[in-house]
Amino acid sequence: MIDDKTINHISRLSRLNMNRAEKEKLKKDMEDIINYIGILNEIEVTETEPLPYIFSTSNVFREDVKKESQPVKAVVANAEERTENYFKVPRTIEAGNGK
Amino acid sequence: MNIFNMTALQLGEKINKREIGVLEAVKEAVKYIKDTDKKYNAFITVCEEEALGRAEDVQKKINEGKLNGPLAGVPMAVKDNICTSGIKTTCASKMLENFIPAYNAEAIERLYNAGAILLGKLNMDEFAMGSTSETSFFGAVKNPEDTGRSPGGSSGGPAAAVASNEIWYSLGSDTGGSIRQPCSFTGTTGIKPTYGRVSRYGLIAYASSFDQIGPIAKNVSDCAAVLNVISGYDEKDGTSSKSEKGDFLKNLVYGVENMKIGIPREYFEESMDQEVKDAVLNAAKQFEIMGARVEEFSLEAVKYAVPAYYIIASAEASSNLSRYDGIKYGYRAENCKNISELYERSRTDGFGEEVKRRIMLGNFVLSSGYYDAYYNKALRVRNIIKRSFDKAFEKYDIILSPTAPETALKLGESLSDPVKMYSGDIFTVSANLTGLPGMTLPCGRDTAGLPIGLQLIGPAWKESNLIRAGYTFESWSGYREAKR
Repeated sequence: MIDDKTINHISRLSRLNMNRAEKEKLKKDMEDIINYIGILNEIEVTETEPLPYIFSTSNVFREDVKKESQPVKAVVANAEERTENYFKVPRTIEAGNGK
Repeated sequence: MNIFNMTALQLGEKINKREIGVLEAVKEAVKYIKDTDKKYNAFITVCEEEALGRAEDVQKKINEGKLNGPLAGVPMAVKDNICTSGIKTTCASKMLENFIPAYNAEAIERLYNAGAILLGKLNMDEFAMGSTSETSFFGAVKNPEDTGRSPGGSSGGPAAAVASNEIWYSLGSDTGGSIRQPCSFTGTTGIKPTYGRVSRYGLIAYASSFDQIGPIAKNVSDCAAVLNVISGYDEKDGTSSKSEKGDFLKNLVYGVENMKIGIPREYFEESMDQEVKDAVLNAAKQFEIMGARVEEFSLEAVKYAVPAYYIIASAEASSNLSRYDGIKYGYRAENCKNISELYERSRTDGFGEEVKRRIMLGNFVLSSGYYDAYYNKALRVRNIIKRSFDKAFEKYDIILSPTAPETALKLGESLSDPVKMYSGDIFTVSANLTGLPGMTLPCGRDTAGLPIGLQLIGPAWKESNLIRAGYTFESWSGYREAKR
């Protein structure tokens, strides 16, 4: 049921890039798990609404008041690559493609 | 005076009466952890310096009469998925190996205000995903009851640190049984509060509609004292409840007369260790002798709880863990050519196997073509299970069951078969699917000498029922006292 195409698709959605051996193992594990959760097919559910959250069903609003933020320096310090208070990332727009 | 045999409340009382100094307790505890923890690997970080500083501050406030709560000055430690400002919070993952939060979780903030002294951060399954505490990037936790066995998971460190007397109490988190099952395996006591009782602010998210922080301690009284401190409304958590908080210490009352306790027939049809079954049914009999009305009943649809749980939990996990991109914080792969490669390589190298498995499963059940068949269906099953529990609580004050189908498992035997590992959560996941409060406490030992856990589940916001029944049972049976 879980073929290579599905595993590759789900890996892409997950932003994971595993090697062949890892993928094979995962394929087997996922098949086992999906077989196991297949037991839910026994139960009739069409009359019942989905329940994503138990108690709270409404949004929580607050006044739009300025508050002190977390210290920027301490927050940015967790980034492996940074310049001053900025996060550094690889170039996202290829150079030289413009016509 | 051996402070390590004391409960948290006993030590707190001695500190309050100034028979023991806070600094003295902290120094002894740190020394004990350094000597002992090599055996158990319960700690990821010991924050000695911060603890010594806080000890002086708390002692000063006690002397000035500004702090007089029952836990003031008592050392504790928390699971490493609870954010502590300036102290590493790793989630036991390579991904967060060097992460230092800039803020405290609300539960930490409340404990600090009550005079708690944080001694360190405790080991766990990576991102709280696992039932054995073996998926930790920092190595497996060992059960103080038998170091060849797992302390359970995912709060294996918090349970082991209490069971080994390294610490007086700890905080764990419970998404599918992660407080209760390790307590069961280590002979400790723990509470998973009603969803919304304790703020999730600063608890690193796994499955947000299930996650709750709760206490792990040596007995019911200590759990009640800790729960008193950490519970209550917090505007920083959108699902935090404004419901009446109450004083859980007032529920430490002996007596279960007129209490109605239900035993779900279906649970005892599941495969479980015979000694666990006997001990739990014996505990039920004790409740009857103590004056409770105990009867069997049918709790429909519970056999679907574990599959429904794993579908929903993995779906929520796949979404929550999409934040780990290697950029703002967390592990970052080096020398990546472009942003896609940076995301993929950081995540592939930064996450362990079980975490990747759940992200993949979550994205599978949420993906186009499978969403209705799996995710949406699981949410409907969740509703059916909730109604089943609602119906039961029209009749009963408490539902009684084992916490886990077995006693502590040998290290190295669980991870190879995920389905088998997941199915061990049969008794605990329903409380998370339904948001209900659950407690576990020891109710005996098997012939190998390993502790057996008894689980009590109550109606929403009725931790009071669990605390009263648990306290009565514990006073009557004396399992904890008999051991130490």
